[in-house]
Amino acid sequence: MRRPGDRLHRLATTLCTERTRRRLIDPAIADLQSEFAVARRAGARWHTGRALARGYVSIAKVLVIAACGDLWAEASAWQPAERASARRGLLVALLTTAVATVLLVATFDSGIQTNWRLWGYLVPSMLTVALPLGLLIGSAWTFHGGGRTRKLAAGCVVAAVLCSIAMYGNVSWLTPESNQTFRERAFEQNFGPRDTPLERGLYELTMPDLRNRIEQELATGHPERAHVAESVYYQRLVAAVSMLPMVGIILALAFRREWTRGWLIGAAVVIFGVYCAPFVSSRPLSEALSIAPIVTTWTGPALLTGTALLLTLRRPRARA
Amino acid sequence: MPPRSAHPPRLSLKESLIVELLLRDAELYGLQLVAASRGRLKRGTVYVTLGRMEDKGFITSREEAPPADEGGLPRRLYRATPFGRHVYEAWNMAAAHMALRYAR
Repeated sequence: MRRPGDRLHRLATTLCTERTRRRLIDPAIADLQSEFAVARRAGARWHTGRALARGYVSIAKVLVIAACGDLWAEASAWQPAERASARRGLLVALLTTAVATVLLVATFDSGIQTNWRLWGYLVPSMLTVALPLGLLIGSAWTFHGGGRTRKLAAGCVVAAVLCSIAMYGNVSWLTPESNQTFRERAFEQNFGPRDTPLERGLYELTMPDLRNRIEQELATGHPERAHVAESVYYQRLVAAVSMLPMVGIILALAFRREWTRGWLIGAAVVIFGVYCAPFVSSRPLSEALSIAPIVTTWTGPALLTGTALLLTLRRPRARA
Repeated sequence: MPPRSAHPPRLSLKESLIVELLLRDAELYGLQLVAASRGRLKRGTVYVTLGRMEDKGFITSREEAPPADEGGLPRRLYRATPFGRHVYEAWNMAAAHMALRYAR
């Protein structure tokens, strides 16, 4: 029979040290189970539901505090083998990101002749694709064999969160500005200087400007144009929030399924495909099927998050 | 045995309340402490505070046998240690002394 808190108990086993789990999480879950059993025996359905809701919230709080405490304690004491694994993973991630960025910039076709000196302005927009790939391949490279430790996993989660924050800054402000600079310089090179600045396209608008554009298009009776702008808006958010679920899947596969490096890299490529899908397909899909852009754009990240949670929370298969 | 430290032991308001409740009722579960505190202790943080107090040696805990009929995890009962009682009394004395000295 499944009791309330069983899943959280399993999650705590993954996230926390045994000492922390036994001292902080288990007592909280045991109290919840006891409170639930008492309420159920009394037959008070409302009280049972209330006890469950309050218990789950409190355990979630304890879990977050305990996991953060454990992370902090563990982050300060790394073994030499873990340092070496982390270094290798970081190197692979940086190398993958750099190579992917260079390849994407070099093969980018702007439609007009551009000087290689302008390539630097394309780097921020290419990082939207290259950085997640680097993070995924780096993670897949790190978590195999002896590299499968909780400290490295914690480091990887922190890296994913930092990448998410950096990505949000990149897609919100840096990429629009660098895209616009690229367009103006490229125009200048081909057609000479202009008196007025080039009008910004959707990809050259910062997040607040893009939101204003959506409202403006809706107010002036152009819902189809608003939909296109909305797609771009959500795509940027997707780029920022997808890092953690993507890394979560790699970690779950590495720790719970004990996949080898080759399989993990294969999984990383598939996950990357799911990440990229909304950028390519959300707009045409939204237009063809008349679905709101929010649905088509967020399907990929929802799928990634669902898979990460399922793999993390599901009981691993018993070995023969 | 309380952990050795260069600084005198400190008791926060929450810790003081927990020791006080445990001294009154001998042994309590985390949830009972929350209920007895009348809103001054929260469910989400009481276990973390209890864990920290155990590290400091103010309280000790033991696992109860798991309930035979329903299964589930064993509950944990907390009690104050002699060291915890000593620190609590010393802090109360110090507080009373300060109140007498600086009360207007």
